[in-house]
Amino acid sequence: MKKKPTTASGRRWNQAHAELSWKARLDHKQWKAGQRRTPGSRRQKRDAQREGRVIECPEIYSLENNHGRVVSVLNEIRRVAYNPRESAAFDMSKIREISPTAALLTVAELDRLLAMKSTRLQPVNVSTWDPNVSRKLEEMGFFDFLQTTTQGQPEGGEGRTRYVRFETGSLADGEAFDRFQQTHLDPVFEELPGDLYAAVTEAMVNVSQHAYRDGRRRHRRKEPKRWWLSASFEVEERRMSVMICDLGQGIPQTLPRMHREQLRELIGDLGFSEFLKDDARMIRAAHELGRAASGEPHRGKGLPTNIRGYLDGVGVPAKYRVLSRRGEYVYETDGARTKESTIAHSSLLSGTLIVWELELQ
Amino acid sequence: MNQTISVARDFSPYPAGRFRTDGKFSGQAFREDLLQPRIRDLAEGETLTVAFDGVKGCGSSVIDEAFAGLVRNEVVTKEFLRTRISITTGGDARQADLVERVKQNIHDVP
Repeated sequence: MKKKPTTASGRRWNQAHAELSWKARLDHKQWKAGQRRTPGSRRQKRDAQREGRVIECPEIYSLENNHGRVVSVLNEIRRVAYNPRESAAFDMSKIREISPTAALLTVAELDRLLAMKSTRLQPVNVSTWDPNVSRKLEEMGFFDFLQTTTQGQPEGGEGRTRYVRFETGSLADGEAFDRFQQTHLDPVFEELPGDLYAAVTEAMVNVSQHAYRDGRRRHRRKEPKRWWLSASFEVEERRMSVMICDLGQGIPQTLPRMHREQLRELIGDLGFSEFLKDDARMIRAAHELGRAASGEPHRGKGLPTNIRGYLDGVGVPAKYRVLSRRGEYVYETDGARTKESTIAHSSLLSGTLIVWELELQ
Repeated sequence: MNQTISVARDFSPYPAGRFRTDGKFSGQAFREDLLQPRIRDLAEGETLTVAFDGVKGCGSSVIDEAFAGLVRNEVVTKEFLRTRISITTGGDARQADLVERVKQNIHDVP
């Protein structure tokens, strides 16, 4: 039994010591309880549950031949980027056919994921990926964004189509495009016709000025407001395509804000609300009006004059395509005559993709 | 007396973008940092030639902001641009329509 202190100082010392011990015991209890209930452990459980989730790419991974399924894969990557607790593995083993446009958009989504969450997706079944597909993806720089190197992939992968390593940026960077052209395109095609420099840099300007202007989404602050540029070519056939994309709000979203009255004049009041929902016609209208969301008449000439207008100066068969949200606008030339068409897609592609395809003969 | 600005040498061979926020070598930067000071220094009767030789390309936004921007910002009149400023491309085929595009942009300014 503890002896009762007889002096006043002894009693004070005992009282203080009891208080400190009680505080220490309470702190320890709270710490233990906190450890059991910490959100981190729940997160770990959830992550463990989700570890089994795999984003599977379809056999035909081509925007041209399987638009809906490609967009669905892109949206799944985007969901991982937006949700801080979401993770997934990435499986491309089923792909037998891939298009450069689908590859570039996937690179863009993975790059954004890396920027927003510092996360690379875990690839699965890498050794069974089609060698030709792997080779093309490697050429584009795809493996920078997966938790793997190209080691472990099957050898081989010969094919006619060559992909070009992507380039990315947020401003209109003419020097970057010139370097890209000199490194990848000029050695193959010597001199390209027309002013491709103006076409690409004006597309970059549109990204810088319009693509990410909405600012509505809570993720926007962390999202990189970039463009991604790449190309593909077939040497023997002398075919080349150059493409640039962004992951912003899309042309049909930027157009109505400031051009409502001009659009009414173009369409007439009849069916105007239906027209606003028709993304393909909206993209076409953007080329009629100029895209400028500023509403200033001197702006927005880049789209019809330089970006689509590039085709008017090439003098060879060529195609210009713009895909944005559920719409696609196509402008073709056989070297002399031109024709336009639009395509309505059922799946919503977030952002804008511009492609110039040339048959250099 | 004629003064000359070489865009490639005095500014950049890679002009791109309308505003400074679009990129380092924008039309606005060219106008404010190079064109306007040189125009201010022009003596009576002097002309200014803007040479685009050696430039990799030139989009509409650069051209419009650099030249039509002079009129919109009331630095000079359309008449001044027509009579005192000329543009050359040095026979570069890619820039063949540049002079026409500049004229059209200036013409379109209200």
